[in-house]
Amino acid sequence: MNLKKWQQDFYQGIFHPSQNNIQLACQGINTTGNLSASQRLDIYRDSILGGITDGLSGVFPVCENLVGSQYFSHMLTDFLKQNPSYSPDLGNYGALLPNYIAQFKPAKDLVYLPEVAKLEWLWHKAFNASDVHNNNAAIYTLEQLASITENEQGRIQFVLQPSIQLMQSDYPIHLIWEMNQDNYDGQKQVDLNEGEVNLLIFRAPDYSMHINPLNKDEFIFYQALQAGLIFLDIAKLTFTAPIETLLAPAIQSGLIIGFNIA
Amino acid sequence: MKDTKKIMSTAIASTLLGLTIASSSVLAAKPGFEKCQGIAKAGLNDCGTSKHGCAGLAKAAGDAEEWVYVPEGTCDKIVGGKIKAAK
Repeated sequence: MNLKKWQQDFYQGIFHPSQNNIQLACQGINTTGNLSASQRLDIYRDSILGGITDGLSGVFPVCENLVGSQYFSHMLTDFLKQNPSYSPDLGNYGALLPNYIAQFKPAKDLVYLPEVAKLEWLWHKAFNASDVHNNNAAIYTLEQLASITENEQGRIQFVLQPSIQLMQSDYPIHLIWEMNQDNYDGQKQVDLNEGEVNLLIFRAPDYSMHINPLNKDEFIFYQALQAGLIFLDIAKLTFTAPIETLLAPAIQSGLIIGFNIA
Repeated sequence: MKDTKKIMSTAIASTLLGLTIASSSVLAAKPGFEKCQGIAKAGLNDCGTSKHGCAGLAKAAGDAEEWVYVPEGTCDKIVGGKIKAAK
């Protein structure tokens, strides 16, 4: 038996344990002592599925809290079968869970659940983003802004702090998120009618995590920065407030870390 | 048509002004930004398989077809009429 075939059989025996698949997987397992090959496979299956499930509840704790841990782990059953991990790092697994939840019929009344899952995934990405000092994306420091001539200003390409994630939702998911934190001490209910939100998620240099609601201007501004638009194109966008009221706070708060000249 | 060049130079100039004032305290105070959470989260790759071993978690998960899905978490605290029709 070649290695690839054996690995595929073993995978099927773990994730799609039909009678036939278990039999095939067991052909490659040597047994000694009291446990049969299929018992050994069972133990391995429980360990691997348990490990992945624990990993995902670590990334999506609010979703798990919202539906309960039993519901959450059952919801994952088919997700794990349909979406094998392609990374050796468990921390990279789960990007597709928000889409899966959106298609998951038993949860269709929980309209905000896929959105909360997306927020948690972005939170996870922000949390694990590279540090600013490891980031070489910006050539110029902000202090050098003063030496840029007026003719060059249009070609400035501001660089965002690497952890920044943006998201829009029809529901006040930041409140739902907050309500499900351990130290929460606010209102006891969240009303979906509070409506849509624009959110900016980032990790500050002190490793604190932030989920900030943005107004429409701010959201358009950060979206444009994230898309790598040059300052000339950003200045042409329609904002209700003067652009300096967006640029100055973005720089002062450390969300813009430097710039390039395109 | 608005004078884009003017808009840019004004924005840069007033931003630089703010930068000089704030330079010592950049990142320290972050005015206007609410601190939601300071957290030390454990790495994921140690999420112990040993906790499960041959325990029953995945066995229960294998019975998904027979499982009745009733959420039992905090979702009963989310209210509001803006429920979309099922897709």
